[in-house]
Amino acid sequence: MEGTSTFSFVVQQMVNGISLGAVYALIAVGFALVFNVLKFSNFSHGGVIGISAYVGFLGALHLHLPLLPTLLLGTLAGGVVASVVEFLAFRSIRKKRGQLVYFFVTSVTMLMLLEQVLVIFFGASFFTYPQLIRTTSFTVGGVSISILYILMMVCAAVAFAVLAWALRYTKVGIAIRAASNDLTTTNLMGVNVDFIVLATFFVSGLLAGLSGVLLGMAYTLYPQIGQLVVKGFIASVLGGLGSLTGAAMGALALGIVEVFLITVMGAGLSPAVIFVLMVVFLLVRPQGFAGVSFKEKA
Amino acid sequence: MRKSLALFLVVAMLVPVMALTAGCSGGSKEILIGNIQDLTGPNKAFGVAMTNAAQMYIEKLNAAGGIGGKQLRMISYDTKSDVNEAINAYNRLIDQDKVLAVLGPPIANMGIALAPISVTKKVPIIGLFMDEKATTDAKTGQPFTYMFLAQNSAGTQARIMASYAINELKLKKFAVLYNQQNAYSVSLAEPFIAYVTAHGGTVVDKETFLTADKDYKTQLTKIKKAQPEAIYMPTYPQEIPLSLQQAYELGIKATILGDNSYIPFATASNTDPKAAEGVYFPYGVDPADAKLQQFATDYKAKWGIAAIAQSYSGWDAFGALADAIKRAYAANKKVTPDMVAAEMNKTKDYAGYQGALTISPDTHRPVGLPMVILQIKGGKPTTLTQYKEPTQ
Repeated sequence: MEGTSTFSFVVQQMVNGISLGAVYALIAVGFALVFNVLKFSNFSHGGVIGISAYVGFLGALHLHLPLLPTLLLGTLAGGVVASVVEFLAFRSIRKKRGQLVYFFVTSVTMLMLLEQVLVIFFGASFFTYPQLIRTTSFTVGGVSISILYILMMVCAAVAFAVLAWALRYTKVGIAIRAASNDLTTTNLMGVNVDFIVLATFFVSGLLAGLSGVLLGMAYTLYPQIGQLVVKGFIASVLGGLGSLTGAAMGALALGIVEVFLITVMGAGLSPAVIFVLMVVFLLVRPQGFAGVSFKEKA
Repeated sequence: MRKSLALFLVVAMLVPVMALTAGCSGGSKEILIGNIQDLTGPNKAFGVAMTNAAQMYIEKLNAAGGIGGKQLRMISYDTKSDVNEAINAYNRLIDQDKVLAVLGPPIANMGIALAPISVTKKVPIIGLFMDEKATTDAKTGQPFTYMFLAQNSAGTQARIMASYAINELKLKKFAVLYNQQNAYSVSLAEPFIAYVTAHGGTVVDKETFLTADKDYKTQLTKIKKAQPEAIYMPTYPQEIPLSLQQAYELGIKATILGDNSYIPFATASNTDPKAAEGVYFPYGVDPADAKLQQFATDYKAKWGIAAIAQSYSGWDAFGALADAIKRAYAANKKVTPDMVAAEMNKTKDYAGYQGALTISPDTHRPVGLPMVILQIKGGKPTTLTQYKEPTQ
């Protein structure tokens, strides 16, 4: 019979927290990217996660794609779906200079719409991905580490690094940063804002697609899988809405705090405490960890 | 103009009359039975299994002349894993379709929600809602007059699993992981814990999760630290692959004990086959039983999918209901919902796939119905033994 020392128990729970944080980080960074530019909480990100998870699933099941092509397929699908969402749902609001609350309401509507699309085509039943990773975990000093969670951490780190690099050094990235500062002025400077916003959604969608496939593999696949975007939203609030580094930090913190709360007070009370924490952050430190604050946001 | 007005008034009066007569138990030629099931949603497999089995029973019965010369017809409503849909469906079946009785869902939450409504609607529901709160009124301790369970209750199932673990597997230290938002999960966990603690065992850790949770590693790490010999994980299908896989990834070697939902979800494609290996769980029927084979073949041929436990117990539920209708008709030359409920109370030794089904009038649940203990060996469920609820 197995047992664990207090030390390895604490380390295991830390690993669990960081693993969970990595899952949330993947969602949160893509979520924060759109907020960064357009200043609204884009819940349609969850719908994109859901659609991409199913696209990856179909590829793995019917085309017998191995792991990396499945990830690539889901990621690209996310980019395409997010671009379509931007074009169909958000562009006209932006052109008409609609209030931020219209963006917010539209994003929630798109989340529900994309979920319903999945229900129509796949039913509300759940599916499971084919086993794309043969070895599922390994143990170091009595602490078990899931391969899939390692993969998520690596994906989150690589995606974040690539994103940070692209935002800093590529023309589009610099334009996105400029747009995040002031969309109108960027437009006046001769930058094609439509393209920049579309690019922002595309990149955010890539991240949604990647997280969708990984979530589908780690958990089961069901139309509401994208509702995990709420965790990305909480992470963004903790980290500072609009800050990518803050979102990643907030996600890691959220994962660790969740694990701590479940360990100390059980799963029933944990969500309530998390939401109280979020309200406290919004009241006391709306700029989050990262210290980014916007006067207008939705 | 006057003619048009007269015609309009006649049609306006006829429409509700036609609607009412259409719903009157199929007039004199049909007996209408309602069917409330999840035909979509995460628990679709169960609802489809029951519906398919009931349809097969009806076709067999109708081919043999029906009941009292009347053909049976089933009206199904999809509850989409939503309790409110189940309530709406039950009301619609009675108020609009005028059914004689209802085949209920294998979903505890829905059974519990329908039970108090059945008191006023007075149309019997025979189903597989295992939580005892669906058949017993918690306020009075008396059975709900119109609610009947056609398989072992969650309490019985949990006691069978606990008794087998203590008496046959000689296990003493247990941990429990369950969904605290799910009536089915709770209704299995609580009697399991009660039985274990009353029979010399200890529960070293009790952990819960919520329906929205997908990661149980924090809870499982706590369980691992408590060093149980066995972990009881009574959960819904969607949660089974997650809990098994995550326990396996944490290197937990304790014996895993499950519930009657473990087929086929314990061996889901994203679960490492080793994660499910050795899992014990009770089941309503013995998959190796020869008398099941013909049904399994017919079922597969007709529906193109394999029969699961709810196909067999669904057949039993509908069969016991049909028998009650037959007896009521034979005794009264007519049949009403109250007569069906009265006859359901007299169900004795109905020869079903689960065994001899006898409904206790004191509880409206089966008595003395055995279950089969299965273990996953080499990736496949293997029958170990038949096991009855312990007498003490």
